[in-house]
Amino acid sequence: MGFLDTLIRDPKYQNQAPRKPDEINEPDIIISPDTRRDNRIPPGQSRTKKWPVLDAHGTPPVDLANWKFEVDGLVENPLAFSLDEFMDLDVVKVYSDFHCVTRWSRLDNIWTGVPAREIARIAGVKPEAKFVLALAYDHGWTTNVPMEYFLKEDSLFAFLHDGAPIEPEHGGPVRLIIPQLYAWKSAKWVRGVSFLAEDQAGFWEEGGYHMRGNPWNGGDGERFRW
Amino acid sequence: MKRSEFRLQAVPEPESIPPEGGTPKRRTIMNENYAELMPTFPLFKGFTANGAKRLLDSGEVKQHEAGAVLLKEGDSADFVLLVLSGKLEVFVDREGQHLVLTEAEPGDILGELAVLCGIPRSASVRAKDNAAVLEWSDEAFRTLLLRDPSLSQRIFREALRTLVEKERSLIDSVIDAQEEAHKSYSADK
Repeated sequence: MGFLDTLIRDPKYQNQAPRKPDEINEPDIIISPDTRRDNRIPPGQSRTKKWPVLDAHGTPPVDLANWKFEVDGLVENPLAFSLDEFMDLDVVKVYSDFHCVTRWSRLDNIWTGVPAREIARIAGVKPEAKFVLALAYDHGWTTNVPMEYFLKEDSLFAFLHDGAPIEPEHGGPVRLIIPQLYAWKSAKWVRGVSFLAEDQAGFWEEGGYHMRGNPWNGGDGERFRW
Repeated sequence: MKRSEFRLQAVPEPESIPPEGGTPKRRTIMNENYAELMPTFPLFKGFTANGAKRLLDSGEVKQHEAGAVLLKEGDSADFVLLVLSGKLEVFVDREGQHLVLTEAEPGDILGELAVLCGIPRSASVRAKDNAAVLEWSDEAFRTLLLRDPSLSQRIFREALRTLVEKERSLIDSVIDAQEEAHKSYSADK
């Protein structure tokens, strides 16, 4: 396949070397700390210039008119947003890399969306909340994230990727992005979060995947619990 | 944001209970019992009962009486088995001889190579005792492998280990046969 074909067929194809964080010319952009590493590829990973599509059940139908984002669990104020209400919240831009447990890493992404810590703030998360269960539109899919990572400055509920709406196959209209953990924690088609005192295994975690999933820990990243 | 750009795809609902699977309630209870058991198999280490139940729900649990033949050499391969309980015997019949190649126990997967390679069954399998197996259609099995890299890594590792063992035992039997031939040649002299 020629270069032009690649561009036409896959607008997300990265033909260039990844930029360095200092080259990102965007005011107020949050730089994910892992992009500042000398070697941005975690152990056992290799760089992809494409953006592969992986999911547990295929792309689910998401009715945008009735789209809802709900926040519950250990919070003072349970919340529910329509898509318009959600996109009216304060937004940030984040520059980050994206590491899939299937061993590819997509560097050099700019996400725009609502900071995860902003959701926690508005909901008034109680101090006993230590974990977050993210819920998604695909057949009750879930993933668990430690509160510490949910509250990182670069964690967000994104609706734009590199300035364009996130395609349905990549998790649009809104997906969670937790740059400092493997990408399965970045729930596609997110429909809410529940704040919990105890850790609760999500969909892949019930199949032996790691409860935390930090790609930089251990010799080969925190992929599995076996 | 141009909302009309969002492509909406229909996702088929999970299949309803197949008629031979017993009543839905009975099937659910059965699957829940096996869901507790499966994480004790090395292949499913780290699974929770919920995770195991999803695997059970993606296939069908079948009970077989002792002596029943589950796979027949030469048949086309369109399903994969996971042994849940009981012992099974993997065998071939050659020139009137019944040759047992190996035994399969709970936690073992059978028939995956023929499905993955698209070739006929290379051996037959029969139940030694009353046995329960989880039967995945080839499509369900391929979907499991595609969606879950951790599980496919474990299944491939196990399948390849079995092949390596077979190769080793083939080499051993070639050497034995050569020694036998040498002995009889020396005796003839």
